[in-house]
Amino acid sequence: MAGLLLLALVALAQDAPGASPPAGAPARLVPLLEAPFHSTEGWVEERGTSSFQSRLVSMSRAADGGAWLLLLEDGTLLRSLDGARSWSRVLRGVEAPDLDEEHLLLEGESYAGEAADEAAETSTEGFDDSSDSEDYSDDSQSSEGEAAPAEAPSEASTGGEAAIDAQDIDALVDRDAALDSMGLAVWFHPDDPSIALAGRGDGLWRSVDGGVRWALVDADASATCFLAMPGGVILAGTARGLRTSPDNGGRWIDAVDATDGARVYALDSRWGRVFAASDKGLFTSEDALRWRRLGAADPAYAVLSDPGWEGGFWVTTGAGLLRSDDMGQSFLRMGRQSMLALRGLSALSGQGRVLAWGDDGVWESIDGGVTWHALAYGLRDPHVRAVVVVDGRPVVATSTGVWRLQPVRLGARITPEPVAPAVEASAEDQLATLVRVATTRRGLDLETLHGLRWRPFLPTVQLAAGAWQGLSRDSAYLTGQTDQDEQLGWSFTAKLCFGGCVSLLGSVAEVEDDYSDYAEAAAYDGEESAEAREDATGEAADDLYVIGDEVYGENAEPLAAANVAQKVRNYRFSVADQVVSAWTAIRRLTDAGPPGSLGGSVDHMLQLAELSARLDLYTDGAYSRATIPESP
Amino acid sequence: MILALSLALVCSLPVASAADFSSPEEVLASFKNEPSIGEVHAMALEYSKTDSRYVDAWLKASKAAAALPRIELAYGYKNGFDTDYGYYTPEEISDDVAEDGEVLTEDDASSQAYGPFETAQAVDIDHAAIVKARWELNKLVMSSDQIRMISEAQDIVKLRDKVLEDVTRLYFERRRLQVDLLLNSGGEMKKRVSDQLRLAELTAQLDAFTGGRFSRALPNK
Repeated sequence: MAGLLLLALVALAQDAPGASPPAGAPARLVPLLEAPFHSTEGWVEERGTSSFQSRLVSMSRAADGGAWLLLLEDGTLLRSLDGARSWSRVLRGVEAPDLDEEHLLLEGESYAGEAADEAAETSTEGFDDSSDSEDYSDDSQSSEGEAAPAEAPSEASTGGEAAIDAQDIDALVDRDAALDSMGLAVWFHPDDPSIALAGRGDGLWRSVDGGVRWALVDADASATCFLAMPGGVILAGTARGLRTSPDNGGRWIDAVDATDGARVYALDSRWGRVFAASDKGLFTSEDALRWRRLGAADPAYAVLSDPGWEGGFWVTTGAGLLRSDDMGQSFLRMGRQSMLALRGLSALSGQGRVLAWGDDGVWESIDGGVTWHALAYGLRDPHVRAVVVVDGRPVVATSTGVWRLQPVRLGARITPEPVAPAVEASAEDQLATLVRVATTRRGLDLETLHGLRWRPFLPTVQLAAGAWQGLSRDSAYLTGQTDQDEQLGWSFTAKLCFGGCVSLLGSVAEVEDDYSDYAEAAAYDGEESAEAREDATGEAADDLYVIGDEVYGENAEPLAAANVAQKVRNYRFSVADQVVSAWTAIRRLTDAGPPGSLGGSVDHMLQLAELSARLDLYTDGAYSRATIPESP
Repeated sequence: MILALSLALVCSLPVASAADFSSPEEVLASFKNEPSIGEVHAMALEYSKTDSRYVDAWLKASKAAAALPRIELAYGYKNGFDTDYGYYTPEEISDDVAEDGEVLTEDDASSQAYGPFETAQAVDIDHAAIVKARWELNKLVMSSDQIRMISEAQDIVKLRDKVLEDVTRLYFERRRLQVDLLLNSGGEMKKRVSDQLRLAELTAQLDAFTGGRFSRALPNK
């Protein structure tokens, strides 16, 4: 467990932008010493939201903060413009077919029987007129596989009136059986608040005006989650795999891939990868086209990438919460609680602050998922369906209402969290801070290496200017004629080069070409070219450098950076280990208290002082600044 | 010599016993005039030049270096002198001279060629100056120099941590020895001398890490 704690603390201390303290400035302990939500805040229900005619299913907020959308279980879409306080309906719910199911089945069987009889009769009339029966057969298979809606029959179903009716019935029955709710998911495009999508039992709906007006764009998909990709591409997770839209949700394509048949619950992307949590396991892809499974084929219900650790993400599974720090090559069980009813994960502002939510309410972790605390105060409905994070604070939609976190009134008592952590939350905060400070000191932070990704986009700029003056006089004695020619000129050249521009300035002759008269001075040119070649050879030798035991040449910066990063990370682990050891020893000594003898008490104080000094040396004095300094 | 040193150290001990102190704070207050561990850390950092501000400066310098262009200046001067010579047959000479109006008979110009004659002369003088500036802007965000500097910076941090770890260990070992000497001043002379020698050794080791600053900061120095 200590190793896991160490891993988590190192994860907290990784090199996310802004994670490292400014050089020379005192380490900032304040942010991590902020009280977590569970100790200071409780849930307050928004008035009026509990009177919805149906249970809440999904909630989303536009990126610009203007509009909110709420999807109810019956498919009703509501919109709010006042921060999820009052709602107005923008799309009616899916009207449940007022049909008796048993009657419907009997009717369907009757129609199917009649159609079969008709087809049999047709087929007996002659093979030349058998197209109707073939069409009917194909349509039946199609209706089973695609669950086409009754109001949007397939064009292929032209096999006669009986065939159409049978398909409609099949579609209705299949839809009712496959989907628990008419409302599935609602989503705002994170980059374009005018685009909103809603997955319902009757298909995929789209709005291009911020959720005011809606149109059915794909009757074949019951989308459960969405993900915006670059270039206007949107991925939708459905009950039967992934669908892709190339035009911000206008058209949808169902490509054949490894996720086909899987019910996709959540999507996330980072580091150029897309993750899809489904009932057939966690899938990943680099291009959203070719998918491969990470880990076992056990159901995964949510996935959340860790912005502070490249390759790190959390996954909720039927076995609880897992974390991977190596892009899914291995997984670790997180948390001491058996959080088996999780539906989703949400990132809060700040390193390692994560919310996990589901049918057991909302849980908060401030240490990257190592320990969890229930955000239970005031939340009367534990069935959380959606979480929207606004300015770092969660707003949740439970099955019955919308709830916000608010500071608890003075005197109000918050029920202690049900976990039994080895250290107190505030102490964990402090340790996390110390580890972060220690592992992101100048020289150990890897933020600088992040610039490597921008390197290909910045050019090499070359400016060259030349001026020349020439005088030539030719005299012909036999004719007595003398010609004189004077030349005066200048040249300016600017070049931009992107990518590998190793020999952009290989020779002075490049500029000299611009004034050819001077370039004809062969002797001068020849000497310069030879010198330039020698310079180039010398530069190539100068570009070799050694890091550790490796020799690197020009354009090997990515490889060198990767090795340096690895070296730094290894030392970070060592530092984190030292900090955790010293901090734990201080806690142990403090808890034990000084012995009764004077000598023992002095030694106790000296031990504490030495451990504090060790923490200070690894944290540039942050430990002493955060506590009352006591010099021995 | 050692004996004299030991006696001098023993004589310099404060005369006290455990009964003279009522709390551990009082015991430790006996050394309040000595530099604190934080001050000793600062001394060690100053002496070893491993303070983070050096790392900062190097990292900034490695980055800022890319903002400066690589300048090339070139100047060329050419002074060319050409002389043309020619050989002429008698006929050509006759024609040429005839053009000039001089009278020569064909008999004067025998069948052999004449020459060489200096027929033309050319002078060619050129001056050229070239200035080139080259910015590799991609190195502003990352360069091999920066990567090397980051690697070196990490080595510096390692060295700093090791130095400070050693200093911390020595400092508190010395302090414990001081406390022991203070609270158990009535022990055997041989042990006291041995302890004093160990104290001097620890002080010298701290001096080695701080360039002598530690001893200079002690009150009796």
